[in-house]
Amino acid sequence: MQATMAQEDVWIPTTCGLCYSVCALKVHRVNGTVVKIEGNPDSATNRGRLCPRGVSGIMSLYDPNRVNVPLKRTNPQKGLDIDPGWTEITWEEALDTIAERLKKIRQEDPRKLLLTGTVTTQDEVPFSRIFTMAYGTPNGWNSGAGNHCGTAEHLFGALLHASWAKQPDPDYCRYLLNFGTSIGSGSYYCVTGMAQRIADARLRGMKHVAIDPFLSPSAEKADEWIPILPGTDGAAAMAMLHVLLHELNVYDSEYLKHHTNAPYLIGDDGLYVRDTKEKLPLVWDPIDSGAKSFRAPGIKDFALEGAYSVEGVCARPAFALLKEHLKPFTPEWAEPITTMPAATIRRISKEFADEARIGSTIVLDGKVLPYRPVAVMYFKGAQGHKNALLTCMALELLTEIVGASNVPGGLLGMNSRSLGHPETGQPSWTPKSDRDGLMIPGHWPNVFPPYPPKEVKATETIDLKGLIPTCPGSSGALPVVMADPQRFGVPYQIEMNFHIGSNYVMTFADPKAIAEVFKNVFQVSFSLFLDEATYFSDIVMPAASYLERLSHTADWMSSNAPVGEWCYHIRQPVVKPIAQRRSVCEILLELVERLEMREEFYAFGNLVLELKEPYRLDSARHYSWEEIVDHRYRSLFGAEHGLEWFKQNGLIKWPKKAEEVYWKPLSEARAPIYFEWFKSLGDRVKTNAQEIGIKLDTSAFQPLPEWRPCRAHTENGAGYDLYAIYYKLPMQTFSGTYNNPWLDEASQINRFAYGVAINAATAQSKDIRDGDWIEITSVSTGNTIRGRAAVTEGVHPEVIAIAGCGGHWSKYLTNASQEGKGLCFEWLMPVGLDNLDIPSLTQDQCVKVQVAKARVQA
Amino acid sequence: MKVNVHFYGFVRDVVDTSRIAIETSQDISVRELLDLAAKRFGEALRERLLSGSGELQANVRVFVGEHETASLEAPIIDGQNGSAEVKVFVLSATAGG
Repeated sequence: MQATMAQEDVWIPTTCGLCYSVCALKVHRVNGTVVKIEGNPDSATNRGRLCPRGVSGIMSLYDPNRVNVPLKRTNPQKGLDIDPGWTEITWEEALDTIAERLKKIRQEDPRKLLLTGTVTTQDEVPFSRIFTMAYGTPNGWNSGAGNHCGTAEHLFGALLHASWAKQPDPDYCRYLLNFGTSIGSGSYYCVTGMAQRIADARLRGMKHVAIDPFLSPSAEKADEWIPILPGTDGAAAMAMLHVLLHELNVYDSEYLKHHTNAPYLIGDDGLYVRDTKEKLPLVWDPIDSGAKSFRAPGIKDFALEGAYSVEGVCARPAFALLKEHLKPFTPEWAEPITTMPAATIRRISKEFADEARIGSTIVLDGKVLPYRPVAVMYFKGAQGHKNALLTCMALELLTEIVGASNVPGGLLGMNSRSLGHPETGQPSWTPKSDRDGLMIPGHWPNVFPPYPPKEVKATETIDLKGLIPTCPGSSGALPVVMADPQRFGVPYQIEMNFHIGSNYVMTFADPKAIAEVFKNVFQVSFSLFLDEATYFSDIVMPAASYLERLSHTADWMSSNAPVGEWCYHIRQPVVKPIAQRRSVCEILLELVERLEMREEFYAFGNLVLELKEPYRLDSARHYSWEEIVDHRYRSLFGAEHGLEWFKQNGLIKWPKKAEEVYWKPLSEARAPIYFEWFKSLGDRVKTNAQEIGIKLDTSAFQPLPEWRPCRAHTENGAGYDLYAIYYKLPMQTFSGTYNNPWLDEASQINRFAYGVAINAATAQSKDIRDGDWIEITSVSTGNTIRGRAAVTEGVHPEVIAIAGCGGHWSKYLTNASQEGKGLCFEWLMPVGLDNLDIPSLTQDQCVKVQVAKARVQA
Repeated sequence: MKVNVHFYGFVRDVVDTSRIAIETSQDISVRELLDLAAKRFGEALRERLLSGSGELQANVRVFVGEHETASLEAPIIDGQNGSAEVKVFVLSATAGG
């Protein structure tokens, strides 16, 4: 027997693409085959750490279920269980068909084209949006609007932190209140780097208090877990605010006066009182006993309380109104809503207030900065409800009241301010302020931020965002409008879906309802697998995975760690695309030429990619994908740091400055603690909706927070006595990784990953034992799903918790579609405006269910 | 002066061509230029580009030559040979959570 000699043995730097974090990899390739994936210790983002998904990428690369050739459906019927009857076609036929259809639609009305993507194809989706922008359609949808997306949280990220997402300061935070996020475990932004940093923070003494219906992978690593009823986080926050302001009298008056709109005077109509000349909001100077515009020079002090006669009206500082508003919301009020004992609410409020250390300072980089080592985190769990806007508002105010926003120890935007690479000053952005002094993000990954709000108009897009401009990202209204555009005054129908790696059938709401919406659309998919969404495709193109393709910087605003160093990586192919797989971006460039839209495409490319001279794209010539990526790198990091440099070195990094991380004390941009513009905006939305002929509940557009019940709290039926919730797993990403055999094995080891967490006492009352098959029926959809009971003390007695997004049924996913490989939560969730938080268009992800032991136990 | 106006993006449904040339006998502002364009293409273009109060919509960006204009009152500067290039971009959102 002759030993095989290794002719090639290399480690290649690149980045992971199995979730929306951007963890740096070193990929070991021997004789052209990937044999191992490790974390890259040189990266400031993940510092060598990888999660189970990251190390398992090799199994997705070589998965025998991958799409390897272009396919065309032969069965014109479309449905959830209807086999498309795939037949192989050539790339030429695929691109001819697609280009012909795109030309026709563009000539008729380009708005009829929709782009669907997901955050795990985030390096491809922004480039694809350059394509659709140049094409002329405004319609795009990330199915993350369903069970993945922070939606309303992103809105408040923009309004209060000038950023898409937030993290606690891992270097200095001492008290982390975590309302249902996965921080420190296996998901959320900068996942592995932050998991290690949160673990380190706990070792140095940070207390992590998890408030969550389920003892989640994050909560089990906390110092304390406090179960809460789903959808009531806002009530808990309201009661904590009450304790801070009415019982402890703790708030950071200096921060509120100088960095928020707390001193702005509010009239009887709920709006700012403005000066007659410049129309700027007024404040009251108690030393001079007079009203002045907030920008006036020489203000001696800002009143936060009291009532004043100004411009003929009785005016009160916004803070005074907030304080008065919070008076009734005692811990005793919150206890029956949240099921959190009033004494517990008081205790954690006191701990939070004490640790905020109001008045203390710290010196960093020679700058004296406020030291407020407390943070309140929330994401999908707390805000994924019909009361999303008002819940987010209440949770955010906890951080604002104690002045812990974007200061050492506090809650940090990811990454609100960038002064750029030392050699080029790129990429750079800084929060700004509008005429009213309120914060505008300096950068926003969706091109334009939700503040200042766009004009309220009749909806021109298929997602209702023209009518409701406060929706910060993907809209939960899209399937509703798409089903009946005329009802919403949209003068066209979607005819074609450009579908990039999103399994929207399984990740938004009731798959049957979603199927009805998409079955009449011509769908072109760039897919790794023939998943459930491709059952609605007319053509499927074999997409190159993140290990087979080049990307124009995978990093973005919220992929970098909040502290430490900036780090930008390359995503490069570690093997040539297998079989006929191709990079989506390369295909798009070919379509650009076929559609003769190079000029528009390059114009948008220069704008969106922020290419500077001499790296701007010139439409007089054609660029390859590699050339465009090279231009992008050189434009950002200088002539020496082009594509070849990145291929060799993998990443570029430089230290963050204190004024980038802790920017708020140095900024004139104020955060709102009173959302004055919401009410008038809501009135305009209501009026415009009425003109279109639709009735929308716009009452949540209000300036101060409150708690309102969701549909799950009020929708009852006999026997529907439990709340079903969804949570994320460290070993799976959305629905996209369930076919991976290593992750399957890891999921089988963990009884919760494919099971249904049910409280021990609740299970006993229903004669359910650990491992029993149970049936879960939704009061809202009537659909029933099956899974095995995972009996535990670690879930609220009124709740069942369903992990991830399993329960696949595509016969082309031979591993994932086997019975017992998890549940698809979305069968339980209805589609409809009734299930949305109207101001943010957030889809509720909680529902009342009936749970019973299955009659068939196999 | 001859002003070449290029329209890019979510505007193709309201303009029948992506490029027009406007002859002006005097210096004009960006606002006046957009008014002239709106006269040609109708109110739908005006509504796409401008808010009810006459400001640029949040998703609209206008470049005169290579420079983005910060104000609608900014003059259209003669580029070369008695002509100027104006690019009007109507953007749409790129991604979600």
